Amino acid sequence: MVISRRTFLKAAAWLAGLALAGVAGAVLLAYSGLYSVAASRGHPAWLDWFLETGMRRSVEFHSGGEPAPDLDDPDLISLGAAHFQGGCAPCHGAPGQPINPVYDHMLPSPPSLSEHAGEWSDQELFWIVRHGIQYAGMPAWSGEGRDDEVWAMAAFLRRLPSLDAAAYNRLAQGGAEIPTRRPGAMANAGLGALHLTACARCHDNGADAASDLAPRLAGQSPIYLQRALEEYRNNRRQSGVMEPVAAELDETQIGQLAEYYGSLAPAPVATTPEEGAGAALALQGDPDKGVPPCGTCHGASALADYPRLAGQPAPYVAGQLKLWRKGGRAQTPQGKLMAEIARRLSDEQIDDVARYYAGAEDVQ
Amino acid sequence: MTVQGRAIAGVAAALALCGCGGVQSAFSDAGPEASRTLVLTWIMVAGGAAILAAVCALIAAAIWGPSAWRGALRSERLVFYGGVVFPAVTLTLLLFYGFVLLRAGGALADRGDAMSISVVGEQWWWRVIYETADGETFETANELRIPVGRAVAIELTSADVIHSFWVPAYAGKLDMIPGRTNTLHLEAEKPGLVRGQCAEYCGGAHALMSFFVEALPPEDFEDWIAKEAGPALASGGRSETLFNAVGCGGCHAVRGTEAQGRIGPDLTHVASRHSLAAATLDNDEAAFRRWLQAHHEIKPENRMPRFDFLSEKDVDAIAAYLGSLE
Repeated sequence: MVISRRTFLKAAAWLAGLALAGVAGAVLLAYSGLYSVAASRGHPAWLDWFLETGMRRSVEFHSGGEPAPDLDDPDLISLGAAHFQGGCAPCHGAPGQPINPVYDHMLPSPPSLSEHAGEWSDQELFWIVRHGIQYAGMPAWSGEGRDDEVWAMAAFLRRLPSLDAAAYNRLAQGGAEIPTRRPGAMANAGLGALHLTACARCHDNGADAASDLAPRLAGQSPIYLQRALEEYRNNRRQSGVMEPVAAELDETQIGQLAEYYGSLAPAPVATTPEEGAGAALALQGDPDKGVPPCGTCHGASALADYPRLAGQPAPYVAGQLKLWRKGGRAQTPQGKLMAEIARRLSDEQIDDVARYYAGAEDVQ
Repeated sequence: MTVQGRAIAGVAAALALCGCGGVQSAFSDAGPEASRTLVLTWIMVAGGAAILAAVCALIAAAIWGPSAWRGALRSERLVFYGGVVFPAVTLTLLLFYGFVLLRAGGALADRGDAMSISVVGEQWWWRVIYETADGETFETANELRIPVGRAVAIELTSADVIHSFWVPAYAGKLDMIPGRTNTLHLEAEKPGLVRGQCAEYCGGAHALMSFFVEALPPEDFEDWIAKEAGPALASGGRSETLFNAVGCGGCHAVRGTEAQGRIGPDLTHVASRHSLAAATLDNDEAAFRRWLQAHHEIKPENRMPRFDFLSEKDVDAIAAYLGSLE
């Protein structure tokens, strides 16, 4: 078919005019204020469909690419659970905890994840937790570069639909105890509910601590603990889990918590130090690769500003070293120093030395 | 030439001559190997100048000379003798003279009493390993001390990339190659302090990889090696404790203390050296402070991590401790 030049120009002019009219109409609608943005009003069905479809397609389109770790890892699940209780349950509810009526009146209202988490794939859950959802009140993950933490949340969400209230509480509570309050105390200070800042959820001293992805704090120097919390609070150390916790603490409370954990005796380690590559790296280093002995700075006689590694769980130490190697902890002067050393370590050396410290008594 | 022009030329000539002397110059020969090299240099300079003058004269004759000369210069015989025979003979003689010169180090080696010192090139410093009379080894860094009048065999190798060991006052360059040991022989004829330099580009801070060599009278050398082989003389007290708590001992050794690191330079007697940071800084407390606070600016990309979190007070204490390690 041959379209004459005249017909073509005519059609183009019409299309341009329509587009212009559409834009003008939209601007007029916004400017007039006629459209009600009231959350109380709800969305008309067609808009609901439009937004919902757009959101689902967008998540499908953008997610994927990141290889998932083993989401059945109990350390991931319990770390995710502990953060879920403080960071997610207020809006999304949890088994045995209905959605708070305040948040339930958002538009869209946050879905119960026990019911809806199953609608998403692992990669999609990861993507939503990592990036959040525009116009829905769903925030992005606050720890930059901490995909390891996001996967912990995804692992927990995978498990969530199968949890009843009791199983959920066991996971989310970790090592924390919830005090039962008398009516007077309750009336004045509120419930002794499981709060975000209940450190013991993850940093319990016991051998059956919630997750081996969180460090044991008992016996660390208060100076180091204080520095760590201040770095989280000032957004200089990245963690979607710890930043919100530290943000709730003031300087006095940080000092008190640091003193408290510094005064606790470290739990005795269950195994004796292994001989072998890990012990060699910790005690002699790897001079050919420029790696000093870890014990020089992480043993009993080092600066109080440096953490002690003896008795720390292997997954935590290995995870942090790998994070360092990627540059994820190079925002502070101390972090820069360690990043330089971590870059000289191989995967194998990291795993060896992490295993060594998990079973080590305090070394020089 | 104007008066001004003459003045400029005079200053330039004076500067050029100054540049030929000093602690790091092949013209300030201080040992037999360097002297022989210098003789060869002068022979080549003089010979080259003579040949250049002769060629210029022949060209001038070929252009402006009487027609008889120009006729002679056109002959094939001149091209054959001047262009083929003369260079072949001259270069062959030079080659054999060069072989004889290269054997000069061999002559020192043949004397049999050569003292051996190992030097390992690292980015960007020199690890120096001495062996004492009773067979013990000890390490120092960025400086050699050698006895006057005795042949010294320097065993050269590298821990990372190719470096080249060059002390112009004593000998020519010799490469330091990973996985291979090259031996350089030299001898100091008189006491004195000279400077050496890495002469093979080895990365960003290559130009800052220098060192001093001090030739000592034999009895002074014996005193020095006895002291250098021993442990640190100073006990640093609180600042020594700080030095170790900060982690310096993970990479640096201070013999006789708990610092036993083998990655960076040995610091046991660091304050008694002629320089810091491989002849980059003077050796005083201020230089130690500068190094601790800004070593990444002084020698970019060096392997020492940054300790930016240390307080001024801590830096002062560590600098004072290092400054006391005579």
